[in-house]
Amino acid sequence: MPNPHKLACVTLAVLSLGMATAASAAYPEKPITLIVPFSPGGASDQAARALAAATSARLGANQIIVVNKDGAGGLIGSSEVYKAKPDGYTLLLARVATHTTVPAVREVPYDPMNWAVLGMLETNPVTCATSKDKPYKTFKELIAAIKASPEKITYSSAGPGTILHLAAVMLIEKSKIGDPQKIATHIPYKGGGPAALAAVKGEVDFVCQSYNEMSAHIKSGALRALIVLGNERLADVPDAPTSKELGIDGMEIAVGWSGLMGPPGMDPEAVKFWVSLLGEVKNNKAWQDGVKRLGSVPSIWSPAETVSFMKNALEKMKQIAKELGIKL
Amino acid sequence: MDIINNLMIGFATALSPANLAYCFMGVLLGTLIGVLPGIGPVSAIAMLLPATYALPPVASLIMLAGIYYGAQYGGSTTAILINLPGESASVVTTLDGHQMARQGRAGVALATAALASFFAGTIATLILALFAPPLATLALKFNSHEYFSLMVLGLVGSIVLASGSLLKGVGMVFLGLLLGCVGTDVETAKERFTFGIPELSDGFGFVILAMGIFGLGEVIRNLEDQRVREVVSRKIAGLMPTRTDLKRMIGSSVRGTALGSVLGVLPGGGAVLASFAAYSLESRVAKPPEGFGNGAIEGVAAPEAANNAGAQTSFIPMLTLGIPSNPVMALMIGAMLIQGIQPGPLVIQQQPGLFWGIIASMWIGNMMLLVLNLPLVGMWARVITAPYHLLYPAILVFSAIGVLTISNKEVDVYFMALFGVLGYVFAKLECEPAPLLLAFILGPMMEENFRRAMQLSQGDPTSFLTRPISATLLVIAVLGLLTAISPAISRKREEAFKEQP
Repeated sequence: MPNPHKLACVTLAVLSLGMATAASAAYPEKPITLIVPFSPGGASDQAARALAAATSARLGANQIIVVNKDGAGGLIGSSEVYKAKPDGYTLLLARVATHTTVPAVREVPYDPMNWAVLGMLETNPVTCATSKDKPYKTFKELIAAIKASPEKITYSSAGPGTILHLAAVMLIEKSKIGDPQKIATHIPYKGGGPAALAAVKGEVDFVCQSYNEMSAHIKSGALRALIVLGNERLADVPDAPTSKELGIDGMEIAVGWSGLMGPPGMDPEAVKFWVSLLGEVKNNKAWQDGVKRLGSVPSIWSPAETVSFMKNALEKMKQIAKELGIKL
Repeated sequence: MDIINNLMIGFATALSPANLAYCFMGVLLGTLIGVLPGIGPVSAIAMLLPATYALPPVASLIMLAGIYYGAQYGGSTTAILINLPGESASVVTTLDGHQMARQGRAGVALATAALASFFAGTIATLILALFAPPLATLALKFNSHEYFSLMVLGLVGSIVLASGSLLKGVGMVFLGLLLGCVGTDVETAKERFTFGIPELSDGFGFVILAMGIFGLGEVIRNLEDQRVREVVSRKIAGLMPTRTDLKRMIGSSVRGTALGSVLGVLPGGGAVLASFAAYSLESRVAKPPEGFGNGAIEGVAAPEAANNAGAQTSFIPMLTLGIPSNPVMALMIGAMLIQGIQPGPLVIQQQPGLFWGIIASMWIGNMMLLVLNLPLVGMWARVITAPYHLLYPAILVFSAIGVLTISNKEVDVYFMALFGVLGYVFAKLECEPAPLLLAFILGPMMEENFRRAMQLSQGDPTSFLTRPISATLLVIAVLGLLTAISPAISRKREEAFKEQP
């Protein structure tokens, strides 16, 4: 039975929906919530806060409000944005974990390819490093040591299925020295910080991790960078060769990244607004410098470039996880 | 002498008017954050970080450091007054601190916390100036084996924490271990006891557990009894500690400072562990006439000294090695990188003004905190004489807001409510919840480090005994356990915890 009260509610809702669409030309008309699905202080949080600072002058009263909603490897914050109203006022700081590595190894409550992709923000090239007290001076020496003493050489990660784990497994697999999951021993830690620290202390023999998470240790000399995964050397560690130079192809997908995304079906006006605003941020010198100082690479890419990169990385990671039988 | 010169450089930097102002802003903000239950220094510093980009490096680090140790200071205020630990490091302070408040000695308890913290801050500053480099290497020597043995020692200590029946104490330890199992297993990334609830995949938050069991549990228990509905007796018996009080505080503060200074250096919850450890040690060494858990001033002085000392020495691995010992230090490293400073061994040589300036500012900041807090003692003590129909709803609202600001997840408020009910049940059963909380922290760390140590030593359990630091810690743990179960001592222990008539 139609109840007059309910009817009034529905009418109101429809009306307000109409009003919202009409008003969206003036987007943004209120502050924008940017959900970071990880805890404060990490690479994703830094990327979000750098973006908030860089857009602050342009957005005026309708600032980005960074909200950390961590948990379940980033799935809690991501699912929330996925289900949020696609009005452009709830955005996600998407990470390699939420959109590539985790979906490659387990079921996630969203489709990683079905998002309103606004653009890439920063990339975090992965380097493999060892303590200054370990005998391996080059990546070749490390691989030779792994081959010479199976199961004895250890590496740390932030947990199974994280980029730290998958990058190391991929490298060993492509080096063709034996079963990539057995020949070196994987030692998981609770997070990337402790994993890097384990390598500094020499508790494990090496770690493959985003350079920005280890820059302090590499610059102080506590860790020695052996290899940079991908095709380009890092300005901060000019002596470390790239995986491509060492004849290992296809490692460029093992890279950490932060991107900006909205829920599927996001208001096209808001999408347009963000794509053009990111274009401005791209040339913002202060933003570039801030990102670089934290050891990341400023990488604002168009939505199309970002999507094609994500698609390629997700497919390859899924394939690797399947081949190696990594399933959580 | 070198050290005098260095400290001179430091004070010259820290005493500049601008740096003094930033130091004051930091400690003031920190105190406020600490007083508000739940809102911790991590979220506050993360929010303020971008605002410091424009400041000179020394000023921004002095301010951020001030927020951190200011919060340790402020956290004890709510712990003492309303049994609500505002900071995880002030959980133990509730045990005797709140009892003191109930007896009308809130002012004395607050002043004790302030004085013990200041004392610890002064000593820790000196330690930092004298021993930073050698202490830093200690952090590097602690691997998974050593952590496991340290956790074992901590767990043995937690049984000592339990007042009343030993059986109940052990029961609470096991309950804490079980609660600590909830979440994702580090080794396999499989979820345990989460019942498909995604919010449980990282386990229960420590502050949520502590605020529920202590704060909310206390509110429910008080409502049941018509007579004790005032949180504390309205009669306030003196605001400042007497001569006798001061005498009793000294030994406890020294022991607390020593433990806190050492544990603070270790990455992974140093300050929290320090406060628990100091209380355990105190309940072995000191003999307060009223017994622990009944408002012993030693039970306030020791953990407060320990958590403040720990908060300061946690700067040692950060400044000298670039190793963050807790999330706040990780944020500080971010702040330094943003300013173009590379944390690590070179900071002392390349930036002596910065290094020694921060150290000197800590002492100045502690001084400011004392000046700031002592006059406020009277005001705070009066706040809790407010009628319960105003105070209790306020406690509930602030707790809920605090929990929300930590995680931004509504479900955590429900969890806190659930733990509040649990806290009430514990109170009815006369089970002391402190061992549960310590086991809840230690359990997961112990398991994680044990499994990792076994993996690293290819499944050889003797490796725990062949490594000197690990072996020493285990021997102390065994001795502690033996004394705890030996009849003579356990009789003494029962006496020590006997209820006051």
